[in-house]
Amino acid sequence: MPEREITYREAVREAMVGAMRENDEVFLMGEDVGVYGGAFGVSRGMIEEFGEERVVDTPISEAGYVGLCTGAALMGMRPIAEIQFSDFMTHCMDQLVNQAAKIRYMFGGEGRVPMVVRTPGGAGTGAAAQHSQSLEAWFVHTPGLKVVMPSTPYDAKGLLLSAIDDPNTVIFYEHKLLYNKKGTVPEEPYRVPLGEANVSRIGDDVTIVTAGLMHHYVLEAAEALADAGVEAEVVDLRTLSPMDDAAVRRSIEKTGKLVVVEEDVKTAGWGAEVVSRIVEGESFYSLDRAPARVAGADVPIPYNRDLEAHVRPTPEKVVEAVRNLVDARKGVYA
Amino acid sequence: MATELKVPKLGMDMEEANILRWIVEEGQSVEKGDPVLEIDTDKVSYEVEANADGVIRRVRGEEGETVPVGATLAYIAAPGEEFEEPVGANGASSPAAQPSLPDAAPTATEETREHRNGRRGVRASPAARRAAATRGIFIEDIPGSGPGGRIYLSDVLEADVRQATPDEVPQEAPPRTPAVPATGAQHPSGAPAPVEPPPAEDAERELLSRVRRVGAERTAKSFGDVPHFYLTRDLEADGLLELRERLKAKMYPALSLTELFALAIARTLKGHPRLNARYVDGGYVDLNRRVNLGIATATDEGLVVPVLKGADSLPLRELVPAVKELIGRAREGKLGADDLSGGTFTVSNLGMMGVDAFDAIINAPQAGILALGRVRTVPEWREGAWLPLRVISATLSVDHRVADGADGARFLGDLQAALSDWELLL
Repeated sequence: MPEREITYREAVREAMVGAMRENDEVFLMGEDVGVYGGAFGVSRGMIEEFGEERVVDTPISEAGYVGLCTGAALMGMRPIAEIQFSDFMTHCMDQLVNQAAKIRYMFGGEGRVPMVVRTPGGAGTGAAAQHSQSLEAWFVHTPGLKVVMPSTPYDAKGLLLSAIDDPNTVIFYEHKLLYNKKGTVPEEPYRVPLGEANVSRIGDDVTIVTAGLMHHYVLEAAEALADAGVEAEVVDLRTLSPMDDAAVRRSIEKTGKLVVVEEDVKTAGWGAEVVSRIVEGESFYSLDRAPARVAGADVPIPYNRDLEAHVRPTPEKVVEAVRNLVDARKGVYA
Repeated sequence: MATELKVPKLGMDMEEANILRWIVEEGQSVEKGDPVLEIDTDKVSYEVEANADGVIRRVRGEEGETVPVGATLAYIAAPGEEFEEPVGANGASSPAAQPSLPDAAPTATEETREHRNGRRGVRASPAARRAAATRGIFIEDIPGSGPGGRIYLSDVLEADVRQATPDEVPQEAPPRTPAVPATGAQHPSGAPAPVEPPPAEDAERELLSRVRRVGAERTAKSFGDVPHFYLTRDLEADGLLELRERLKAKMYPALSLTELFALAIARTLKGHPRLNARYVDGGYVDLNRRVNLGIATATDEGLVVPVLKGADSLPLRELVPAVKELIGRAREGKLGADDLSGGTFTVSNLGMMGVDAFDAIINAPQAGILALGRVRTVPEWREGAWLPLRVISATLSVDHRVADGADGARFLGDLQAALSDWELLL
């Protein structure tokens, strides 16, 4: 299979283009996805190939076009809706939470909504409080939706193709700071299954569970820790819902220490769910340290760059958390 | 060195006690055996006696307070000793009546370990608890390397290696020996310990009852620690059997051989103090003034040994119902802490189950146990003819640190004499 390095943005585009070439039922809809090529250039060139029938620019109404996509999906189409910033998901919450997530259940399986909602989340771009949030936990908290958050170009392509195939509504989280990230991606179409975590680094001393952009921070931290003699095992969840807690459990069984690194705010973030699943089962007895979370501060993301950097997780914070756990004299990070 | 006075474990399932009343005060002199305070469990009230001569220091625990088994209640400073509380003890600089279980000081000294003996004080990671449970190590005995003595998995693994190779680590203090061997019920996780390795394919694993778990620990410890030797003798039983026939009709409830043996053993032991004794580390032997006779009793839950207190001074008419009552309650599982503690010698009778003779394991810290078999009729050459003779095989197990073969032989001889001529017990 020919492989080459492409960006995360290109990998997402390649998945969409491939799916649309394979399947006439797949189309893309969103604000500025057509002529402009998308707010972050993800769909650049697509309208030229597929025309404005299948790459549809919409009015500024997330509720309107996500509702439209929901209906189209119900009628057998495979829509991809792009939300410019994940913060704007608030505008289509009813369509997603009350409609798309519920229809299959409420109609006894007779109707289903095979829709993908792609959206970039996260901070680090100086875009302030309304364009920087990480709200994925809301959807993890909504049965009926799947939530995917790939961290590499390879996973982005493979997971997006799986998400388009999936008979359920999938919220597909990209990250503004990931779009230019390069990685090896096969040209051919391939699928990465939803709900399967990836152990991206093997280690015996601590398990670090993460997803999305944070995965790269964690790998950076793991290298720094390795220099200090601490070998971290890194679990990239890739899918937040359904969550592959079994992969986490297997790793904890070996390391006895759990650190979750998430960009969303700490309070009621999805990291709390990871920790809960470990401590409330038999896996509790594999823990040799109190679990720790490195997460966003419980504040709106500040516009000021220094303050923004201060409230976000960083590789340094991950290193500090792990050092605190590994150090027998402390043993906790809180 | 001052002696610690701790909350004693009075029963297999006892975990804590309430302090009812302090009988002595800080600074008061006591002699070993003097009552110091009164405690109360859900089963019994109990006077805690001084375990040394000296002056009461550092009284901990208020009246009405609940304290865990093993918690330090006070120190008894030797007469004339300048009392110094062990390093790391809590409240070393403050006066009496410390709350008995403050958070452990952040040094893993003996004293903080004592505090951790109270289960609530132990801080250990779940992995450490699981590993300790799997290996049968009491987590309270492990020094923790974390803050406040918190125990990690690595501490347990280290302790496990130490226990496996004790000779290689001579600098380690010997393991703490509780007054009564610790029980499975003390296990901090409260859950049955997961056991390794898994059972064989054609075996079914069952969880031991608490009685059997305690029994397993105690017998293993006793059989390992106490140098046993055994003396077996056939006791002529004609006198015994005739007496029982004679009294059977006159006593209700009817007396059994076990009860007659209990009487004979208890009274005979009075003349053999070395067999009614306990070995004390350091080259001492404590000779018990009274005979508290343990009577091994099989129950559905396993073997228990209720104790007949002051058996040597009970007349037969009181002893028989007392034994029956004890055995009855043992079978119903209704024994209290008091019923199971304080034994000085034990008798175990398997004769009614058809056993000829057997060797019993000493019920430490007692020094002896007598194992009785069934009544057999054997031929005896007497005055030129074979005569049938009824005998019961008795095997005496003795702690060789306390008594020798001759001591045991004399006891068996006197017991034989008593069984033949009951008047000798008068």
